[in-house]
Amino acid sequence: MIPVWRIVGRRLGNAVPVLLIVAIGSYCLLELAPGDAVDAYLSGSGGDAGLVAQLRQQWGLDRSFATRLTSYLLSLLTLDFGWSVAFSRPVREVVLDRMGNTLLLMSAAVALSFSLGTLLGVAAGSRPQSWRDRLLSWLSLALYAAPGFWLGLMMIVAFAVKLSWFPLGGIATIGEPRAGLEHVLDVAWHLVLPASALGLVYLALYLRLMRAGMVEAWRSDYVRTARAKGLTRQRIVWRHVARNALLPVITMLGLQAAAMLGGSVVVESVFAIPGLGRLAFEAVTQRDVPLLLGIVLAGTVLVIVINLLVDMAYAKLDPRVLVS
Amino acid sequence: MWRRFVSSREGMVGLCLLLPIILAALLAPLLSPGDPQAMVGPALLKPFADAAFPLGTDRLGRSVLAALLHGASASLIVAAAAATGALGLGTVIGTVAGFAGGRTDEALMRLTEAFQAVPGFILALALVSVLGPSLGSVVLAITLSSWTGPARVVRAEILSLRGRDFVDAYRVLGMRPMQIAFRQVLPNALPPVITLAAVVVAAAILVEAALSFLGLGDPNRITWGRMIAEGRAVLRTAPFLSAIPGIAIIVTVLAVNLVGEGINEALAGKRVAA
Repeated sequence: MIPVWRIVGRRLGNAVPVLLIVAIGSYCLLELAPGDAVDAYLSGSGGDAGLVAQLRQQWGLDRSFATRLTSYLLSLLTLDFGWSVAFSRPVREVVLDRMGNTLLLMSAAVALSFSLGTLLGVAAGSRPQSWRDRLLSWLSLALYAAPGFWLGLMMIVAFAVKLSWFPLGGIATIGEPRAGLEHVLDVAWHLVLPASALGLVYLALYLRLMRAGMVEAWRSDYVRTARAKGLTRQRIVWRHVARNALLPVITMLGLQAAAMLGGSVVVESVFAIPGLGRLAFEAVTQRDVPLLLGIVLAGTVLVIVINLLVDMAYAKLDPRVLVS
Repeated sequence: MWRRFVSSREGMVGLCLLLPIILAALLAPLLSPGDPQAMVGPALLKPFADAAFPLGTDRLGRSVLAALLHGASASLIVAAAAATGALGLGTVIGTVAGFAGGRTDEALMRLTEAFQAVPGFILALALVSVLGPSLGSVVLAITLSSWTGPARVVRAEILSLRGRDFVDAYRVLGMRPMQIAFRQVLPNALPPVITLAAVVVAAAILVEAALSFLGLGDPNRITWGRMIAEGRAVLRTAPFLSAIPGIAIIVTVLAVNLVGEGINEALAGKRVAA
């Protein structure tokens, strides 16, 4: 048996070269962007050649590419992500400020898609080829084909404009500071539509995976044994079939983390949620290269951490991975 | 192979949906001649109200149907080009990694992991911001954010094939390793890649829509994502302007996914038979 922490250690060991590649790769990529930080900084106000040269020297932009890359990588080691030109604040602060909202949105979306998706998957897979199974399968296929931002817009039309059940956007009611439970409920109320828009697309994925796993599990020997023992159908569905079908779904949870983070860029823009995704879009439109670099790296770390957590959960559910 | 595909219900439904869309994209200049961005009628006409504009008009009096037809070609061109790029790149890297093994494999797999850990859409945002919004940069952005899946699948297939006797036979014949890898082993590893093609195409259509929704698509072309974004300004009064192109995206992606399942079933059947 390999203890769980050995797996964690090996994973973290692999993460170092991955992060290094991402850091160097995205630094080189953004170096190709036309114009530099000084151009972006002065694009609003303008400035003469003297000021430009002075700023370039001040910010170290007159040094060679290799020197700048090395000093960037070294400052990353001290968790210094540089200076955001657009926000006039350290990149780390801006990113950490926005990260919370994105994590909230993603967790709500994951909770929704995972719980509802697996439950509907069990409903579909407990009687394969029934009308219920067919209906759910087609519905999930259609949902899986829908762009999340479009679902969000349509929900705004239906539930915010026409029915006024939910707010149009934002993360909390502006101008009315609330405290304690009231604030939590206010944020939750604001998150319903965006989390559904982001989560419904993935719901389909979990539903299909769960259903496929259950169809597979029905054919296995242990289900036949369970039947022969005279167990009730209910018990076979939940204790024997669904439990084993859940494992690939858990793996998918980690695989989809990166895609979901990307999806939240657009959903955050639709619902005006100040999160990491909208920050990425703002960094692009304002040509804030250090900020964009910081977001790419923060997103990568987030994906690596989520995958690590998923691996640990998997090892807990299926101890077989610890052997070998 | 074709017979098996025809017998799969999903595949045939998908094909029946996809063919008209491809035809519409190809024949858009004939079906609705002229510039789809030209103002041709009264503004904000509702769908089915005027036979000249079956799907209504937008804020500037442009025909929604014309934009939809011309948008189909942008969507399909980007998706097809990006999928070709991603599958090509993924196949080459997967084959080299799987067949070479050792350090080359190790290095290429770290590279793949790095690309997998970066949220693809944020990478695409960064790329488009560097290269400027154009059809080409959108294609490149989608290619670079979706080649890792095919690469891993191809590598796994190659790994399972490279120990076979026929590889040793070609080695004895004096073929160079990469020649064996690409000419002899790769063709045997392709079926799962073909299955993956539909997934990549579907994802590419969605990413293109999201990018152009954010205003990062080609500014000179009408796309479905851009139509949704433009309809957003009048979402309260004319929600159909955003709804219609979204339905077009759903139908197209659904069709591609269904065709993918049909191919999957056809290939699986063939494998069982073999």
